[in-house]
Amino acid sequence: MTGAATTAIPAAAPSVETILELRKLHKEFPAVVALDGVDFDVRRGEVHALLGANGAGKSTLIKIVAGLYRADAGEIRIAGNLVELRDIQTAQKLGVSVIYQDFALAPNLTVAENLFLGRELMTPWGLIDWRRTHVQARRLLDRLSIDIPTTMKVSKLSTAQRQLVEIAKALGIEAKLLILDEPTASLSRGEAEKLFDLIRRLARSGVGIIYVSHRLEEIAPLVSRVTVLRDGRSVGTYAVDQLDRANVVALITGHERRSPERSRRSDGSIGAPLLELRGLSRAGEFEDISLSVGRGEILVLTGLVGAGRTELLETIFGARRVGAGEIRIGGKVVKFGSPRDAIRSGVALLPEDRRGQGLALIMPVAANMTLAALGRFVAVLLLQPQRELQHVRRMIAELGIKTSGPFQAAGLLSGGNQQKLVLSKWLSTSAELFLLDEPTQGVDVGAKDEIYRLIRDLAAAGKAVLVASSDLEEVLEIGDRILAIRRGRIVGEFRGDSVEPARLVDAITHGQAA
Amino acid sequence: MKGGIIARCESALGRIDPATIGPGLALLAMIVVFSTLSPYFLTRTNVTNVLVQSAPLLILANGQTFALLMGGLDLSQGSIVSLVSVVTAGVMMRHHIALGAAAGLGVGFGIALANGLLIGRARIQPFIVTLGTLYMAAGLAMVYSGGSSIFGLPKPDVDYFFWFGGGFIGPVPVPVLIAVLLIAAAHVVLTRTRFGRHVYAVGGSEAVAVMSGIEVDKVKILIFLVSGGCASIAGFLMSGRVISGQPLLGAGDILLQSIGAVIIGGTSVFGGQGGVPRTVLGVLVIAFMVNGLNLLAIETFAQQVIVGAIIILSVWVNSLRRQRP
Repeated sequence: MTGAATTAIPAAAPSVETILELRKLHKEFPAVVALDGVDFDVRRGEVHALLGANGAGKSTLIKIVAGLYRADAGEIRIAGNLVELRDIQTAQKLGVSVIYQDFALAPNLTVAENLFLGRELMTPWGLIDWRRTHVQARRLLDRLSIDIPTTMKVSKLSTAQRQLVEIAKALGIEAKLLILDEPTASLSRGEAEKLFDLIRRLARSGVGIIYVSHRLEEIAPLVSRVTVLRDGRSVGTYAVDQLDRANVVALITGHERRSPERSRRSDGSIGAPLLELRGLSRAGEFEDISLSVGRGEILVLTGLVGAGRTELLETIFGARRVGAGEIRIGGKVVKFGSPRDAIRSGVALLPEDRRGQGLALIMPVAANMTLAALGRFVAVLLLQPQRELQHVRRMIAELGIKTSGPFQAAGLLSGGNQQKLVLSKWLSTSAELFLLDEPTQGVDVGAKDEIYRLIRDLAAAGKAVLVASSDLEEVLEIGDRILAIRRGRIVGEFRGDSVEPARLVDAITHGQAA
Repeated sequence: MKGGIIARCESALGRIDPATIGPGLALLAMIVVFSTLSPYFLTRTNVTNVLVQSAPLLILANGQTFALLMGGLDLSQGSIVSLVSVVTAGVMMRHHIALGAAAGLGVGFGIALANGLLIGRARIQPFIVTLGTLYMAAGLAMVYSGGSSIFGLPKPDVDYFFWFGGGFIGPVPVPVLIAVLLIAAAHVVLTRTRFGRHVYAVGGSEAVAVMSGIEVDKVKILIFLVSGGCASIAGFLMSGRVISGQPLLGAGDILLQSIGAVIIGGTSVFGGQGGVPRTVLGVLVIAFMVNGLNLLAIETFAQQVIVGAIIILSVWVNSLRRQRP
């Protein structure tokens, strides 16, 4: 690790010291190239950070190594041997263990039961040997200095404790390669320190670790090498001491960011405020949020996972109860008891969880599109299918939704077209305020631009648009104004035409107001 | 265009719902086989008989379709039949058929409403709620009747009563006419009203329904009112056909047939897909199968084995058809 400046160091030559080696890894989804010839390797005893913006291909890479997805092309070597990771079990047998953001522990079982789930210790009689289970579980936890009773139910543990148990479980199955996906997103500083300490000791014992994150600063003392992904390609692997915050941000976002194609209306043409929040709070989720969005304005809320963005939008939409503070729409205080009330007041929410909350996947495109606006198509008490279909066909054409027709099941559309369908559902209502939660998550680059265009059209038509996004490029691309939110609080406000990406990143990761 | 968006949703190639092809072919095959084996099978008398006998099942399954479409089940239908039967007959005995009908149907709809409120407002699983009311309504029917049948209903009321269960208007049997009207109404409701669309949405994804502004609890209450209401009407007709109040009228396998018919028709047990036309096919498959086997003098117990196998087979065939995610 002696290289100067930011020249990429060559990937390690194949050797026994290399636990994982990926060569020219390629993965395509319908209409998206998720990984385009990525090289990557992890050595024994190394913590290797994998950085990149949302959609850069980090999670696809992890899922391929975990055996969840299969690569379309490329080589995977584990401990020097060419392997085919057919499924999760194959990957696990080869010593790959992944700890995802949402945990894979059974909450109603005890810590010991979870540690030995699927590989229970048996007595000669074929029953579970509880004594040995607890003794070995204790030993495992002690090795990691984890001070949790083995008889405790997982549901009683804090998030941080669950994470520690997950790591212990991974260790129990003798992982050679441990993948941590953004593990500190919901941890306090002290908890994160404890986790780092554990990771260091694991690395020292010879485990190779991939640490996926948005924030290099935080993990710099922990990692030895850093690989940055952008748009499905590796932009290089660097020794950590070659990098500073500025060039990491540059690597992640890309130097050649598209220049904004429109004049931002940071002032002047923006109309009267349509949505105003005053001191809005919900315990444990967000606190004292005050903001306003004018007609014709696109306000972007950005922050890391767990910053409270989704919760805030759902509260405005009436899906969560207001803790304290008030919401005004068009100057009038509103109290929504349910999304129905919000919709009737002209509010629309494009949810982050598209497949869970946005679309009924087994229902046809047409029925999904008109679900929130059926009243429009009723005459003499009955729905008028002709009128409904006419509307659906027009929307499909206007938004360029690629589908075999109005009767295709929504679940069969690609991510981008599903998102356009959700958007068309709300365009079918008479909504004036659009809350868009991660509008381009899981959407390919081409469809992204189309969705940005639709969002701009909304603003141009005088609607008020509030976007929550963790995609830096997107934030810079569409925001007239940008609010940085961190741990449920607004920590900075930026104008879309003059924001410096580095300062924005600073605000969302460190809370330093601009 | 008559079927509307939902009915057309799975028929990419035109008007035939591909889910109905399986049970449709099964029905055709049965008719061919039974009519060659038994010359009596396709006679007008036999077909009329089958239809009259299956009218209550048509009505029950018609209501049950709503429950399955939302991803639930109504287990209380059979017990509602029994309770409606004894209350109608009991009140008729002392008063008048109109009062008897009002009391009987009123009690049946009351149970249906209780189901709906417990499922919609108290948010308890449909399976649990209707398992509870299955027991309660069955018990109430026994308590009310003292455990014995109520015979000897007064004239002329008893004649009107029988007219509903076994009478004719011209060549058309009254219970069949009532069943057809209810089925037509249900089909229009499901395919052409907002409530109908909401039923599919709740069954397709409850979270999406909530986020689309649908009042999910009201939808659920209405669904179980429809299901229990249909059971009440079926109970009234069945009771009229036997011109008595029978505390065990719905205790047989009519409930399981009702659920089985909906499933054989191809409505998904997970909700969101299916409809009344499919259910009609399912009922006809069961009814003609049982009738044909009877004509061939195959004993009842063997028939049960066959009906059970058809239920599993039809779901299996359907799952093969939708292998794609």
